[in-house]
Amino acid sequence: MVKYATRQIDLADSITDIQLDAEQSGIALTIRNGGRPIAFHLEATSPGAALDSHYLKALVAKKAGRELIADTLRREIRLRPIEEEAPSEEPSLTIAICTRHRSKLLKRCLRSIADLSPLPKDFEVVVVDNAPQNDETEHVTRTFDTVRYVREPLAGLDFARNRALAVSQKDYIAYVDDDTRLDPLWWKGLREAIQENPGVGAITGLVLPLVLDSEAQVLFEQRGGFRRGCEKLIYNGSNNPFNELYPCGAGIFGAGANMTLKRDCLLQIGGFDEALDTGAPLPGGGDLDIFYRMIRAGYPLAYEPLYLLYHEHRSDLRGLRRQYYTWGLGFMAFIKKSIAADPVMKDRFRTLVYWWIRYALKNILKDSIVKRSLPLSMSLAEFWGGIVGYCGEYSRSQKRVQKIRAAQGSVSTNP
Amino acid sequence: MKTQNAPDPSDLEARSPTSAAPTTRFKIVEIDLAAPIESIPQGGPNEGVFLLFRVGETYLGHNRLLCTELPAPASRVAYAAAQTTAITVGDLLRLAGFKAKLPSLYQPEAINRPPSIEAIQSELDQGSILKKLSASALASSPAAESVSLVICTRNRAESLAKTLDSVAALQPPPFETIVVDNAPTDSSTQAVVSKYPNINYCIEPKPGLSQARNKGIEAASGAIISYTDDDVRLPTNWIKAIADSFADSQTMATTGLMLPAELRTEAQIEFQKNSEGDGWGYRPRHYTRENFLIPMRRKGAPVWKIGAGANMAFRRSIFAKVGGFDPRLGAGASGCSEDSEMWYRILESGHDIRYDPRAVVFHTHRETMAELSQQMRSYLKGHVVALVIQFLNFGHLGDLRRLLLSLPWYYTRLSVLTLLGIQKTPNLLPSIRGFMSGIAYCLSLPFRHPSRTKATASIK
Repeated sequence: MVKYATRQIDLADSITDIQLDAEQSGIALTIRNGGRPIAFHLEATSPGAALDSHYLKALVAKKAGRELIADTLRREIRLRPIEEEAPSEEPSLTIAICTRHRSKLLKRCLRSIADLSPLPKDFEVVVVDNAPQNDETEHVTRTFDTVRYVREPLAGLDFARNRALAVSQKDYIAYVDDDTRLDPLWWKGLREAIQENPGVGAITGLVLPLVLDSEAQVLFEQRGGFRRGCEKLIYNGSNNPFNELYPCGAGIFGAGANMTLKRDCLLQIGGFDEALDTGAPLPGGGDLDIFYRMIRAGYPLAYEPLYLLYHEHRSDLRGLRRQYYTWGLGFMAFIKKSIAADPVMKDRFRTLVYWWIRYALKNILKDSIVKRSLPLSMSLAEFWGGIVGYCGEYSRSQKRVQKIRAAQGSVSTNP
Repeated sequence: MKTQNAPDPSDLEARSPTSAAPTTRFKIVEIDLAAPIESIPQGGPNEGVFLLFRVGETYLGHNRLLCTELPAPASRVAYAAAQTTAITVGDLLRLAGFKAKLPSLYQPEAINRPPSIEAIQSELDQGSILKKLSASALASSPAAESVSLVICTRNRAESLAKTLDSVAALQPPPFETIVVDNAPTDSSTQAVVSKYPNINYCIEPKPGLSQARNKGIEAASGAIISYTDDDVRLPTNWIKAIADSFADSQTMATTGLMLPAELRTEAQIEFQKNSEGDGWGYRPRHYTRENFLIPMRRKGAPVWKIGAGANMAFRRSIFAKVGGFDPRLGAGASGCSEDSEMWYRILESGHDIRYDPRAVVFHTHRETMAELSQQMRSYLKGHVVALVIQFLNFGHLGDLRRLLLSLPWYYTRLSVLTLLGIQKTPNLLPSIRGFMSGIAYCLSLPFRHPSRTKATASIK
């Protein structure tokens, strides 16, 4: 049983000793400077190790010395005040949590929203209950009196996401997974990203591990997890001469577990594709698809590390294997869909497929040779998912979605 | 729900597939961190910006924003500035752990003490970083020595005129400016030079950059002889920076930072990419026989990474000790490396060389891919000949090892990878051809060459 401790060090405070529990044999350290994350470090230790402040200081200096200078310097640099960059009125926000039968996780997530500091001035929280079989979610939601409960009868994450879009009246919609906990500075980061990047269509944020209490979680984080680094990034336009996969390799844009979309942009490009993220048969690809379409519609994308939340990864290896399968599947389904929907990018998507095959084979090779890596079944699952996804999963999914609609006899849920 | 996402027909970008993408170019934008930073607007199609960060006249780093990252609001530019320059700033604040490593062909030398978080925090707390940087830039060493400026040129009057414009603006001016016209075929260079006051014009009839550089030594009378090329622009503080770089009396030669004057073409961008390796950058380096030549000569000390001939200077007295430039090297002879072979001799004789990035030149890189290929070819040719000459001079086996083992192995590996399509290597063929013609050139050399004794004699 592998367990890592997850700890934070803020350089604005003094660094103190860290004592790991007896069963913990490693540490995931988030280094922040006055709240702003500047580095993340994952390290194996002896079980129950005591990391004294001397060791930690040396570690922090090595891992984040440069970032500390950069962060301090950045605060010193003055900006020329220009009207559109003057702190504009705070944008209004809908926080949308799409969930299904996970009331405990949902409760934790909702509590963390209440703990946000600062809180958004004009915001609402919408819980979209996706095709529920009982009323536990509704029950939990009702205990938070400011949270709005909405039911989406059609099963599928992107049905739920589009339901949130339909009911929202705010400027931005922040989609948050139910198995996450928001950092108190989550809104500060998101607001900063919105104000720094006027006209941005989508913002993604840093996703750190909430706990690393099982081998599956540790392995997942070692392979990179959902992390996208501690630097701000921005993407704009359809051509990057230095990256032949851009913008088709939409994984670079971030993760759907922590994304915010501008409502009117999202409406204009037609919302989420409901044939992706449809639950068991095709449970992924919707986030890739929406980032890609945002970029193609001409809206910039931003990544902001201070816009931060913690995600509880799958704790069992079976669940993790399923996750990898899902990624392969969703990724390829997204590619197949986009080749058909956006044929001018056909060549780039083809290059992406070749790239992905090399990437998947490399992972399989690595996992079969290198010790202390993911079990081989993970990369095999991802590869198999990719094959299934490439072989027509998207069109099968479209048919299923039509059936779901017909079965419900519902009118189109177009927002 | 609309699932089909047809591209907007008004979106011109959407209709331009990868192959027809317009060529990339970068606009060079200088940003002074001490002044309020402005936002950067979007440029033309596929036009990015090459951001050059500085505090006053001290350059701290560069970064590029691709066309996909534009327009960039001021906050974004400030962020890039801080991220890019942090290491240089750490070094300028004399913090442990931020010193530049010496270029190496194998294991890098551990010359850095590990950083200490307390030292960083206390240095950052003591007040404004930017103020400190500006102050340290202004503090100059007293008793600067006389600096002669030598520019060697050949049939490039138009480009030379631009260089001389910047020379005329130097503040303080050089002790003297000497233009050496190397085996000219017409009088265009002389005509250009005559338009500028206070320039000594002389002709070196024997073709070859080394011959011209040696002529410059003969003609110059300053304590320090600085060289630049006919395709650069000098910032106004260049002479002062060169003089400051010799503050240490042990230092016999210095080199400086070469920045791009423009990045308009594919060839220029490619050249810039190649010239950003180790040895360059915004942090000073100190080369000695003990810390560089001896530990690295087992595999051939990478002296070519010390700097570039377009921005280098020597104490006049060193030439009497180690001789002038080797006429078998340099443009007009085998191609290049006359500078690095000189540095090799200086280090071997026990003297120090410093890379001082305060001395900056702006170099106009070759515009076309054909010119770049030609340049790569002569680089390799000159490099091969320099290795042979260094071996003949000092008998260090590492130079031979690089010539006969490392380079052939390197190019064989690259060729295989390129043929298999695993790696893209621009200018592979010209490099290999340069390597071959370098070998051929060496075979045609007379065994004993009178150059060194001659150059030494002429200086004495």
